[in-house]
Amino acid sequence: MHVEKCRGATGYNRKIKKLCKNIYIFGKKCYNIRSEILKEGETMKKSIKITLMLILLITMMVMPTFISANTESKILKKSDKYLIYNENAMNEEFTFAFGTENQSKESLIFFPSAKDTNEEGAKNVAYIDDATKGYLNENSEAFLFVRNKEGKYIIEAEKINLKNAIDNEVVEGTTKRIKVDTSKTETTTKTIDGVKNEVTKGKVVITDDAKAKYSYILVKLPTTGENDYSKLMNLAEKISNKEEVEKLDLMQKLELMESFYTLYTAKEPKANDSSWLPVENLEIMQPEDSKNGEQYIVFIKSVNGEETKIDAQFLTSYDEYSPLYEKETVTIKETSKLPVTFDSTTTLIVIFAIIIVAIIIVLVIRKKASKKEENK
Amino acid sequence: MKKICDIILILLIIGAIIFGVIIGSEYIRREKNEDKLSAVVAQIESINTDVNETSKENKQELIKVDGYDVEGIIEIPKINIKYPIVSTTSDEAMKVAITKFWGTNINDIGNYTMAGHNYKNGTMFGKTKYLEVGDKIKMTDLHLNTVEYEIFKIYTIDPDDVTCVESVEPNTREITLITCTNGHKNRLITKAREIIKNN
Repeated sequence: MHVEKCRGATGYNRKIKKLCKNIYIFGKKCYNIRSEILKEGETMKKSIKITLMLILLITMMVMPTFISANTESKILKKSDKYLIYNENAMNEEFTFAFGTENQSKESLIFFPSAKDTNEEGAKNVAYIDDATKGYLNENSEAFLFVRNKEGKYIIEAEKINLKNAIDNEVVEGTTKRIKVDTSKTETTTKTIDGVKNEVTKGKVVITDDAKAKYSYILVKLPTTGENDYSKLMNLAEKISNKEEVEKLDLMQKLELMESFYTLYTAKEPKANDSSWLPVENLEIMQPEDSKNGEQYIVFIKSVNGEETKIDAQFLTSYDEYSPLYEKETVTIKETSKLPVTFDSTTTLIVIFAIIIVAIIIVLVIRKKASKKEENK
Repeated sequence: MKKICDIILILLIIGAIIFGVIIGSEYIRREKNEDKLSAVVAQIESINTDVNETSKENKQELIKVDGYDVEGIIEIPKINIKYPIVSTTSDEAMKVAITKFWGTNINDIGNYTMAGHNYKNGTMFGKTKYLEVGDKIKMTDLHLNTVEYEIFKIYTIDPDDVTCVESVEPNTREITLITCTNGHKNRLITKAREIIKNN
């Protein structure tokens, strides 16, 4: 009836009043209808609350997607240029301009986009070079405006800060700035549990300029759990894995490079750090107590006159123990008695001695018997 | 009475002669055996002078004493003995040389146990009772690799106690010498361990 047709929470009170007024004569029955209407109203309220919560939840879940779709530009420093990549604007040519946050669009001076490489499939980028450097403020900031071919703005006043640029030299050049050979090993003999072993351990041999002075800081990574250095190691391994990197799209690659760059620059020791240890004979030995498979980051510093370089090597320790002799061979054999090893001739000698004594006794007896016979 | 004594006397003299001959021949055999063993030791030690590898291998395979395969040499400078070790322990083999009673190869990791007669003339393990903790024993295999051992324990056990064949310390090179003591009622056990030379 009415109650069943009633929908919407706002008109409930009015409808209830009207209903009660109309059917007042039914007395008790009126209260039944009223309570039914009230119950339905509460259910509706609950449903609305749940719906609202669901909408809120879905919105929260979807928001990051929207946010990520609205990609921030990534700045890559290559040589003296800063290339600005934006996912929304890198697949076709565009024009770009730098200005202030509230600058009128009419006053913007647009430049054509450039290709980031000379290779096929090169991406379109905005860039900051000597010609456009003037648009940066004292904080190395500027606001980027990008228009597509149709003149439609794709990016409007996005803050670009060169301090956030990923230095390609740091990312690509790490492990290559100071030339080393990590394939060499050192073999020594060591006694372990009474067994003489040949112990082969890895070492870093510096093959760079022999005139430079080298020092190093060795950081052991935790075997369990994760810290910033192990994160850095993982990122370095990811970057060096060409096959895996090939699978990533450009923005993912840039994100990977950015993660590495941010962490590396935070963790690279300062040149004047007191922890630097001098390198002897251009060799950095793997720690004595290192175990096979343990990971280390070795920061190497070279000082050659005014020039100071810092590099890092990401190493997994190599450790081989080979006993100089074979390991114990277990032979299943049973024995229940030790061999008899006494000198059996001893018995013969004893018997021989007894015989001699017996001979002497017999001779004495015989002599006495002879004397007796002679006396007779 | 005189006749009975004469008969007994004759029998005793015959017995004395027999035993005398047996004892004498045993001593002559031992002397000859000593010479033979010295020759075998010299033969082993001469392997290294052969520059031909194949010839070396052949010689190593051919070294035998009275048909028993030789595994190497034991040398105890303190009691001035140097004997070849044959690979089998039996009453007959022990008459010939020091025998391997337990273990794998000479100078392998583990306990290499040898048995030798406690000859009263001081040959074989006849003088091991004079050894003391700290004395040295050298073991040489047929490739002429010599490992020096140092005595760390000397004790007496019952013949039924075979625990002496076990290693005292796992993964080390140990040797054990077994010989009789107190007649043949007990065994004198001499244990030695490789001397580790730290480089």
